[in-house]
Amino acid sequence: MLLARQGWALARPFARRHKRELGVLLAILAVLLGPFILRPASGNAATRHDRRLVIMTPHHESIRREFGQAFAKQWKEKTSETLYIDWRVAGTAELRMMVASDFVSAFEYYWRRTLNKSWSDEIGREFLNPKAAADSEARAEFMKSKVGIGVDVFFGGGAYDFEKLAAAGFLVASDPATGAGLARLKERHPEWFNDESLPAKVGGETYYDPSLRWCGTALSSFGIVYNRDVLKRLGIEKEPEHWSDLADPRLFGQIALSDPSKSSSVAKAFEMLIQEQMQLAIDRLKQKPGQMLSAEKIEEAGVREGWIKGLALIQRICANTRYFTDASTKIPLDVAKGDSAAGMCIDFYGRSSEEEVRKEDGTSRVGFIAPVGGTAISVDPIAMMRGAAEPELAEAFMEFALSDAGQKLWNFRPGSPGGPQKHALRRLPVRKDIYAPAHLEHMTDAKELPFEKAKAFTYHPEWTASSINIIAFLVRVMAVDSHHELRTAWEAVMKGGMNPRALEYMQQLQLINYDSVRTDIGPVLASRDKVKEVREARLLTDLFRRSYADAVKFSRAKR
Amino acid sequence: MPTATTRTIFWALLLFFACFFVWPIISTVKTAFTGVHGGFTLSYITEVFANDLYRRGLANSLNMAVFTTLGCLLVAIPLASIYVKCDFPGKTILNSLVLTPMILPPFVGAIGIKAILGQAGALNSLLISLHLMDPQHPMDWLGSGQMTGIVIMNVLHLYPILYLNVSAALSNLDPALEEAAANLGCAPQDRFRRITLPLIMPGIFAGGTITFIWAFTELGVPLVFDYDRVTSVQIFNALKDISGNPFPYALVVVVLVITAMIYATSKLILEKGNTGGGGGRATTGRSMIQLPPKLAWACTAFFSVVTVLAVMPHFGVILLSLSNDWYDTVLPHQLTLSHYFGALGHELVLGSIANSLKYATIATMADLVLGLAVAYIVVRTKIKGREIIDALAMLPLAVPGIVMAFGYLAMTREGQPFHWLMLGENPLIVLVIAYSVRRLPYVVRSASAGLQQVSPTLEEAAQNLGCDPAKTMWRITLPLVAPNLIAGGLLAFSFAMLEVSDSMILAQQAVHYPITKAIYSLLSTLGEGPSLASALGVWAMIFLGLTMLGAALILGKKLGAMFRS
Repeated sequence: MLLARQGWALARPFARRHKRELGVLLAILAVLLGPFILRPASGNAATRHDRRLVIMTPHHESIRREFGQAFAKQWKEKTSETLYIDWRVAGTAELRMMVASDFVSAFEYYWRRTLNKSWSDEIGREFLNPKAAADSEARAEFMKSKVGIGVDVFFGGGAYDFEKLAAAGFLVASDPATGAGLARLKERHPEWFNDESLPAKVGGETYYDPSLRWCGTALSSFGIVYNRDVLKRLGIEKEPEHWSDLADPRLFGQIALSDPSKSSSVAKAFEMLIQEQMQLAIDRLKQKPGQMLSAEKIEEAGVREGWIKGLALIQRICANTRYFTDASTKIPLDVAKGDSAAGMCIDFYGRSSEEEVRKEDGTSRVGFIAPVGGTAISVDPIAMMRGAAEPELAEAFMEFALSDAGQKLWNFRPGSPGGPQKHALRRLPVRKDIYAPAHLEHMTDAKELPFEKAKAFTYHPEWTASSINIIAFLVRVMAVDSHHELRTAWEAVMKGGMNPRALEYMQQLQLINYDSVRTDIGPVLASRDKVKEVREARLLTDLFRRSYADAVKFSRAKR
Repeated sequence: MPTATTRTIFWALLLFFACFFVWPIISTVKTAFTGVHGGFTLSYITEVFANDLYRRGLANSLNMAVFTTLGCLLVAIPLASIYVKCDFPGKTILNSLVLTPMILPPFVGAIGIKAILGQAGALNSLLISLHLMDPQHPMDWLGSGQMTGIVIMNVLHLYPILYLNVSAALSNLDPALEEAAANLGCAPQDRFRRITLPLIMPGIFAGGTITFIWAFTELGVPLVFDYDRVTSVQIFNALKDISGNPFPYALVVVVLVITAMIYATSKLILEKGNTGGGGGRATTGRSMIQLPPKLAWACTAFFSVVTVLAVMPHFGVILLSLSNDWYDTVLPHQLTLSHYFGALGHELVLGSIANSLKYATIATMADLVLGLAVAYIVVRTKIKGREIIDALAMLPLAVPGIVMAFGYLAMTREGQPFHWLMLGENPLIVLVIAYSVRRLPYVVRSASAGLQQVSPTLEEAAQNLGCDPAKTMWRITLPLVAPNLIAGGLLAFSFAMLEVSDSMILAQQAVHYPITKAIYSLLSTLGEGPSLASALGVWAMIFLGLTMLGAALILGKKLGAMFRS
């Protein structure tokens, strides 16, 4: 008591002298108290768990939460074990970089310590190269090894990313020791892996890897997200239906696009746009009166004409573009906020964005459309990593994702039987049989009928599939890298009254016609020689920038 | 200090930088020098210079840096001079408010700016409702005149760095020198140009180089304006290229070399001009100029205007955190606190706050020790190669965070010599090292400025009187450079709290997330993501703001105490 009084006597003058400091200190404590009081009752499972499943994913928070909780609950009921789902989250591009660099050092460790061999950079390049020589020891050792990076499952991304990861040898169909993996799942569930449920291919797209190193769990496609207010303000009454609607000159500076060199699925969307033009060109040629060509000749001519038309359309859309981004959430956000009139975006982001700003009367300023006949429907896969520490858990999670329970999470309404707990995820399940009449009433996007839509468009891989990287490269040189000049040219052409000659200057595309890109650019890209590639890019970019400058000069002179 | 000790410190520092700066960078950028079939090549580097796009990018980056630095000087020097020399209403509170730009949380800062400056944003809505703008043709602030916009935003974001350094320099300045000049009939403007300015040059240089390098490599602001023809954005874009392009690493090397050259040149020029050693130490108390009320209020207004302009993005973030859908109106229609409950009650948040505090505090302490050591070696000794240490401590500013992060990741993997730093799976030490290396420049610059202003004769006097070197350091040098150290430490702490790239890559497990990664994670929640992230961002802003207010109070007291003695 005395001590306390003495202490107070000592503290009082101090408190008086440092009144303001103490005030700030108290305020800081109060601020720290907020999250402490509001902390959730059930803490993170990390504190106490029986087993841990490590999942790498670019999926957003809502998907992670719904899938994590539902799977952990199911597992607990089945085995009474508490699971800790350890999500490793980043963008797909970062994750791919991380996986590659992790595997290089893990394999180096294995090579040196377990195999007792000397390491070189050469080996580091060879072991993950699918085209390595057949007698490459490093490649052979890696492919039969259980070298892992402490990750069990890779969940989400594009099919193209998974193809690359699988080719490098980072994904496996089954774990050599336990036999767990997608291969065993297929044996256990033949009812899933067939044309009535999960076809191997739809509209030319692969839905699961033929060697079962990865398998799609949800569908995704690209479409147009738009802001009705902005369109109206710009004097555009009709809502966009086709990619070509984005080339409207009134949309100058108001379009948001994704960068095809950052994402394979975006490059794919551009490819579909070109294929659509090819189909249209073939139809036109067929109906041309008095034409006597054979069907093959018509296709040959149509493909060539459509290629140029498609690139010209892409160029016009890009001339309207505000920016090229690699952040998938940026575009729907900007469109919803009215910073862009329209943009290209993944279906579920578009649909969620529409839902978010929907008013009570059911109208929304944001709309989303997947252009029929101009978009392919591809998958968002899942896979088990090489050297997974918990192959059985990994298999169980993949089984869950493909089962009715997992598939329903993607599109059921929150609160409906089998639906998510909190948010509608607005994604389309990959299994066809989930779209059964009994389920449709619970689904948020029952009328999407993706498998019907996929029929509206026949993808012809033989036309462009080998040139998807060429398309990404061409978009980069003619529009992304030279964006500033392209926009300036387009603005000058519009101000100059759309002089056809000026437009011709702007759209000089003969140099990158269907045949010449295959002989000139294709081999450079295939050679994987980056110096050559960048040199080629520089030459072409300079060429385009010069023709854009010519278009500006010509329009200004004519005015 | 005896040379043996300084030499040991010198080598220890060199070893530290070799391990935790040079090594991680080399391990990532070496692809820029590896040819297609292995072997050394310079063709990537030469290609960078052959390419007109990259050349223009570099030129634009330099422009951005020069104008941003000039802008910051124009804002910060008057602010700091008024603060140190005059009394005006609301001085203490304005002094900390003027620092608020430093606490803009990442990710949501950009959304906040857009909410204000967007085509359907608050500013346009305000102008339209005042009939100053045609609703059919709203101004596209972010889409037009991009470079000017970028420079303005940069200045509003970066002037606090100069402000802190210049005010620390001014309060270190001996007022007797100015008074002597005044007594001898020197007019105020001449006095400023001929006495004050040369004496606070170390502080200006300290803040100026950081501002310059920061602006030269600034990424966030050009991205908000969707401007891609500056080197930082070109690197950022190319790093994500799915074809695994080595060119961004070549660009990183070029940026590093240019930065080092600019830094060395400016240092040489400054050292040539500055022959007088030591800026003096307050031999007399500075008596605050008592301005006439009108002028005093004008000072208050000046501070307020700068602050209001600079906190526009913060307003945006705050209002976003309080609204469900804020669109086409000056202020949101409805306000709600639900996002705060959602964000602060999220299972990631409490742990992430504790983690961030831990990481940032330890990193700041490490920075203070390292920074003072570097500054001491550079300013007080003549050891050969001290310039290298100085440059090494500054260069982390010019390296993209992600390049360093991948370097740290590579060197701490199993089988690598620094694997033990991982402590099992806990990235604590690695993150602390990453944060402290990246934030070291602030402390080094402030500490150097402090040491340059403090005359070594004071230390010599103490030693002559029988004080041993350690005690001299503790009793004489440290108290004298304390304001500078606090200024640098504050910058280091708040930027460490808001560090993005290292956190994203190195903190892989949810239990180790710092607050920035929690913000990033919340941002992707469907529907209310941006609002949730803004709410957590506002929390971080309030916390950092209060920390700075506290520091400003202590700093104020400290200065006062020193003037009295």
